[in-house]
Amino acid sequence: MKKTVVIIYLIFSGLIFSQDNNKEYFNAGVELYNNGKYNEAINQFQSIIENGEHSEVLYFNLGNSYYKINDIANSIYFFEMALMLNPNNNDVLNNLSFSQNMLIDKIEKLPANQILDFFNFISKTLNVQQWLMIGILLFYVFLATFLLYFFSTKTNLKRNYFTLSLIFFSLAVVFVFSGINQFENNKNTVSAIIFEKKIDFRTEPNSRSEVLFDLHEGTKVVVKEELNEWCLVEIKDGNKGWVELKSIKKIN
Amino acid sequence: MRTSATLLLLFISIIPFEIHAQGQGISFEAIISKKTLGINETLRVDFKVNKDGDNFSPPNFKDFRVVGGPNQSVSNSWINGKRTFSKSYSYFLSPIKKGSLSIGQATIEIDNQLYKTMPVKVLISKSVTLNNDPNNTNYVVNENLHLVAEVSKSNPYLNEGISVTYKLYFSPQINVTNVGEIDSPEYVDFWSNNIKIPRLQIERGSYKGDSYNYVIWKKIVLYPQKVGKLNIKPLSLDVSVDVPTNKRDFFGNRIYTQVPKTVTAGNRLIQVKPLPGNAPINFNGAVGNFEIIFSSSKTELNSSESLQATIKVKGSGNLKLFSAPELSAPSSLEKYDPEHSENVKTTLKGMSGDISDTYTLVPQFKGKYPISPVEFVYFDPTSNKYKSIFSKEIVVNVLEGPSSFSQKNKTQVLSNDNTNNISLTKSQFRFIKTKTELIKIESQKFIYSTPFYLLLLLPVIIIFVLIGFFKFKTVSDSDIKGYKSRRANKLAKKYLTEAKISLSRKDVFYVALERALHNFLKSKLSIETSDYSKEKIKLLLGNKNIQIESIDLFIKLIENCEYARYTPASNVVINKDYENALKVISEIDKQI
Repeated sequence: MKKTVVIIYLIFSGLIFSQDNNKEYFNAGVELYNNGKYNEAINQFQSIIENGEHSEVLYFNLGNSYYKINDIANSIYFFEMALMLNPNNNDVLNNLSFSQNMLIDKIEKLPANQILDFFNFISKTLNVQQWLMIGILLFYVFLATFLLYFFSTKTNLKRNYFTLSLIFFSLAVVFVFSGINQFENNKNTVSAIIFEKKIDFRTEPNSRSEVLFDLHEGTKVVVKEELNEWCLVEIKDGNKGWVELKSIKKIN
Repeated sequence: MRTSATLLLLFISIIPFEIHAQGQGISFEAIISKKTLGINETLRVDFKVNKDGDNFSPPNFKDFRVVGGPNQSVSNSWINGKRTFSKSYSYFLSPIKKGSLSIGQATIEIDNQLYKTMPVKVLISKSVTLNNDPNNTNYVVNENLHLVAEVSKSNPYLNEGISVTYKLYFSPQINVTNVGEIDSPEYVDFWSNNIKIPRLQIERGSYKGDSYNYVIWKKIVLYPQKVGKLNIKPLSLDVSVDVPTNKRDFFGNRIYTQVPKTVTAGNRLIQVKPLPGNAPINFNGAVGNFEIIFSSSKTELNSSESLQATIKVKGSGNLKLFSAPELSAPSSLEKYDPEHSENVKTTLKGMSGDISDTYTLVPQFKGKYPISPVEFVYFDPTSNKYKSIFSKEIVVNVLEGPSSFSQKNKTQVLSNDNTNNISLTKSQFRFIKTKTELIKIESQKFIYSTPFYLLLLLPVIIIFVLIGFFKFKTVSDSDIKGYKSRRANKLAKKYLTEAKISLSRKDVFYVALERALHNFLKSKLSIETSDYSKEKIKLLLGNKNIQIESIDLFIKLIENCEYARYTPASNVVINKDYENALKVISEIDKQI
């Protein structure tokens, strides 16, 4: 009995200890950043990730630190990671634009379908988790109204509850499905950042094939297919080419 | 008399001889002085005929130059009264080329008949040393005048500079008076640069061990543009040379004769080596020894101001034959086409100096623009290696200006609103956040996980369970008793409404009322119709703790119904009974 108590205490204290450690790393990182020791700050922040914890702010701070040491690829990579957790963080978007100023490539965006754009815009307002959570919540609201409908005796009330429950049901379905849709979209469009100074885009997944064009460090691409050590990526203007997997880093 | 006799004798002797000669036949042949000779020697060819003929035509000496001739000679001789006639046409020929040459057929007409010589073969070998007669001016010139092409390197790499120097050597014995270039060499497959010689200067040097004077006639720097054996065509000079002769003038000084002479420096073969195959990607053909300098006119400025970034390649090598590496600046810096400038000197050692490209850059947004180091790859022929050098990185800081993020937002949201510009343009690179809530990095996504499905399915399950439960409850509630009482209640109401409809018709009304009351009791007290008596009703209702007044009223109503069958009743009574019935039913209903 006493032993188990001790063990439980140890487990909990260990948990608490590691969390405290991460807090310390974070605070140390902030302090180092403020003193201009960006490389050391990066080490602190990175060790939090190694400990298995993260947050939007952590990625934002890492992006900032890498920006300060002119590491374009890493800076953009971590800002994009922060955006994965929250696509609408204005601070991140602002600093990302500063990082993107350092990009060598200029890619014109393909004019997209306006309706699709609108849906994407709507879809981006919440992340997958939020969509699903709200959807599930709405499901329970639907449940409540349905029960009210079921148990109310007055026809007037019954009718009102019925329409309400229908509305909540459809809303719940819409939310859950937009969550699933976004998730599927994200799964099919894994973005990645180019980490090498310059990479060649080739027609085939081997180094013998013809070079189509080349891009520089920090440019964002979308991974479409993978084959061995190579992957087919698409850039914003719709051009596609094969690059080596090791020269890019996926955002996920 | 004696003379006439001799003449006669002469005539007599000629006539039979002529006849004799005709019988002997005619020979016409080509005789050459030697069968083999050097290309620089001359050959004498005689066409001999033993009878006089006409219309001699020499062969076409196509492989020879006719140096002398034709010379004709005729000989007539009598030996022991025998006459020998011979006529020959002589040519002095100098061969044009080496090898086995043939002298073609010559023709002659004798007595209206055409005679031909046989063709003769001559073997021409390479030049032989001429007779070194020191008095022959040509010989003297040949011995004392030399044109030499000096090539600095005969097996250079592709694009490696070599130099060719043409030196005209002449011994102190002779004087060179006039030099003119007849044939300028062409440097096909080379990039060539002639180094101008402002004034010819006589210098002292040695040629094959003898002391000579020489003049550097021409200096050329060549950069081979092709791999393989390349030929430098010879340079030919026309030189007027004053050669001393053995003759002396009145005062005892030597008399010089002027001899024109063509000298050529022979063909030179240059074996150009290809560059090693393992060329780095950024190699653009630069061969030599270089350094790269990357500079910017300023590193801090405001947006829409401009700065000049210069990439300079400095050193020695084929500077004019490649371009400086391109600047790769961030795309958000507006970049204009570079201005190219060259500051290259060409000497015998090759080109040296620098080439530079100056770019004008205009930043549009505030921020930091690292301009990545420029890589320059060249081949160093001295170490036989490719070398890659990098310039330093330049970071341009744009202090004032709009940020690209606010610019994006502005175009999206505030396309026609100028009032918000001030606040928007003040957008800064934001500081890091000092507080955060750290969360576990989830390896398992919520979506498609068991809790996700459970949470989604739970409401559906709850609904089905509830509906099912209520269905079950109603079924379990509906036993026979309950069913009957509910039916009776219904009937009571039905009969009362029936009674209400027939308020004006007395007999129908009371029948209906009575039935309604019965049914009511049936539903409330479970009384069978057969069991229907006032006493029983009283007893049962009393058992149910119903007030006496209500019971009395109920019994009274039943009695009224029975009486009404036989007695007339007014409308007032009928109405009153109906109201009583309603009242008593509701009262008993309440009390049960």
